[in-house]
Amino acid sequence: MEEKDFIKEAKELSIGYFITGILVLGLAVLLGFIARTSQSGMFVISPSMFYTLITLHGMLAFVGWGTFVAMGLTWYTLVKALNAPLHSVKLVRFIYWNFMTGAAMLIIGSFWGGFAGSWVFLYPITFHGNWPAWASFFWTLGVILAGVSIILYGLEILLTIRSAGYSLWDSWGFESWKKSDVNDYTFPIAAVPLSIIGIGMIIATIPFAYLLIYQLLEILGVVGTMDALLAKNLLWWFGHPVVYLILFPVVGMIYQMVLDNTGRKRLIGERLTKLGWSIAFIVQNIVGAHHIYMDLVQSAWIPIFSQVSTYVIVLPSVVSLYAIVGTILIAKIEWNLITKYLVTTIIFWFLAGISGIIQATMAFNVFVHNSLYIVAHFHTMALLGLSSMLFATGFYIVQDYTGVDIQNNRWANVGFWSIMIGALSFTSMWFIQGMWGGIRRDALSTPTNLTILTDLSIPFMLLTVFGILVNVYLAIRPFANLNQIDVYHEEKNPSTN
Amino acid sequence: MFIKNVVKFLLGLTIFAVISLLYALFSSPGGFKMGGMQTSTFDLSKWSIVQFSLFSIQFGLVVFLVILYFGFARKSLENEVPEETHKKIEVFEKKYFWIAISILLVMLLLTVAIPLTTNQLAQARDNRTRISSSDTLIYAHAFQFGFEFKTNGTGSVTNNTWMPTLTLIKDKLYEFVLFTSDTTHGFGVYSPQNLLVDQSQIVPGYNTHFLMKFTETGVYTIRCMEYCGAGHQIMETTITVA
Repeated sequence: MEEKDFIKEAKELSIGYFITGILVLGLAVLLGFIARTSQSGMFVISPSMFYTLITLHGMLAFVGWGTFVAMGLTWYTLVKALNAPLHSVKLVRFIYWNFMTGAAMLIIGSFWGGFAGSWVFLYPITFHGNWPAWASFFWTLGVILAGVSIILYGLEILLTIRSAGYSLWDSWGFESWKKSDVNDYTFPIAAVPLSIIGIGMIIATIPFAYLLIYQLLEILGVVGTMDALLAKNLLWWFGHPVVYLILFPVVGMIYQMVLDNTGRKRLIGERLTKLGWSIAFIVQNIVGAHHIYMDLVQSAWIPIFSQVSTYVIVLPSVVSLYAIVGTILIAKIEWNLITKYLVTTIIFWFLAGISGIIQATMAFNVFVHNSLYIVAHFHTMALLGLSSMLFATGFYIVQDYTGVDIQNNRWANVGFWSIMIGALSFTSMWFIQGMWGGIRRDALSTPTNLTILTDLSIPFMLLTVFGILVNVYLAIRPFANLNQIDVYHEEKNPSTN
Repeated sequence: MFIKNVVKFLLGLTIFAVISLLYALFSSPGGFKMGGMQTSTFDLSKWSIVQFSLFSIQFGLVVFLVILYFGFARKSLENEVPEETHKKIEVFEKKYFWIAISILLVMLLLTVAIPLTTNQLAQARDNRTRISSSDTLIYAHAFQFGFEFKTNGTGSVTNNTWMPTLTLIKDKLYEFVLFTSDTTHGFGVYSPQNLLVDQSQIVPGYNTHFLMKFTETGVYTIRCMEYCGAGHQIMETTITVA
């Protein structure tokens, strides 16, 4: 069947984001590996250099890979689910190039200026480091550009939904409140998490942008200092919902992939799932304070409220897991590389969710806050869980677009198992170190009585880096010969060329 | 066209990133050097019940999921369930929808009770009712990269000058007034067994009141729990409890 032009166009856009992001991931994991070998004493760099590397590692891996690729794969998933074109392809291209300009500024600020404020650059660390002011300026401006792209991303999703003729309330799951029969639902389930993250990111990013712009003006000497506690709240107002900028699009991709592969029109438990998403719409922007339980100067109601709202946000995850697992269990799906990554995502999403609930509970948080347990949690979620789905969807689209068979390439399995064995092993060591109180962002892996686990994690990290580089190769290789792709398109669909 | 531009850009980005990384490594004041592995001891018998609980939950789940993955996932995916089962599931869902909603609501209501019972919250509440007793009040100043203390005659301390370490008395409730003169720091209390037992953040511009009862004799270590700059890893001190 002939592919619609707007789907092909969305696919091209998604691929552009995906291959850029996966290359950034390759760089990010190398930086992380160098930092870890320094902690173990194998390849020792100065503490300043260590902090510069982990600062850039965090930003590139989380924002340059996870967030950026989730944004990119959103375009294909959204267009496929709605069966309608994007509102503005020009805007989507602008988002890409604007984001890339920001990424270049971050690299200059860190590598050339030595900025090492950590990727969250908790205010006022920017003004108390051993790097020049211009490095802070580049870094802050780079993050502002990324923030602008994120706001425009949210806007583009909502505009696309509106221009396709759908109600925004329906797109946020509120259909389930008024219609009891799922057959009456009009809005496609795969686009629900995309719409929710669209509005969520606009709400979350604007206050954070205020902090960034204020900081930029402070670097220039135009304004005085800001209240540090307010700055921390503004940071986490954005800092937690931005995690959902990876999770929610990934869930949308899973829904779409499960429906495509099972041939079903509806998920099992679709009404419950949409209801869960409508609740996520309400609470997604009010959970961030669970990152600052240990700020005892805050009013007591804030942690109480935040702990409860965090438990509430678990609801869409729980019902989604039920819906996805239920749907794939009753249908027949071919077992291949893509479905293997899909199942892996489901498993680690669940596992990381449990450790997330543990640390979002104040009684436990006091023992693990800012420890390696947190690092283990988000690597389980972001690397083993969500990245698996980004790989799956990315490979699927690249394969479809270029005609190059990725899933039957034997290196694809080597990449998969290297990442799974490597990352599960080294994150397990972080979990143990974190339970003991091993401090995150620490050049010496303090307390040093735990360094045996740091040493043990090195071979597993090397295995993970190898697996990721294999995946980088698999994603980029089909684009080595662009003319061949043109020929493939001509053979596949002569009328459009 | 977009893809072609992206591919060209990626080539440039890769070269730029690699040159930047090499520049950063070679221009770093400390440079870099190859070294051997460090050695350390790791004694599980020192773990508390909290650590064991976390460990059991975490790794119990990993084992469970590995079994699930290899034992069931593949088989289940490749088996097809008859069409009438699909219909039965839809009827079942419709019938029990409100029961499912009710269960979820009850579970959510139960979670509201959890934070009300935690130690941290008890401490947060206590923050509003200060001890206000001069012999147990300790000022702790955090700075890049260390801590110093000032007391009013607590324990064996007999003067009011700033001191790098402290000696305190077991099982007595102390009130620390934590403050910082530069950026955000953390105040992590490690037991004589080197386990993290309590902590607080120290936010610039605020005095944080932190209550602590030391329940063991020995040397406690105070470590910074928030990244604060190039010397973060050496920011620690000790409190001896007699």
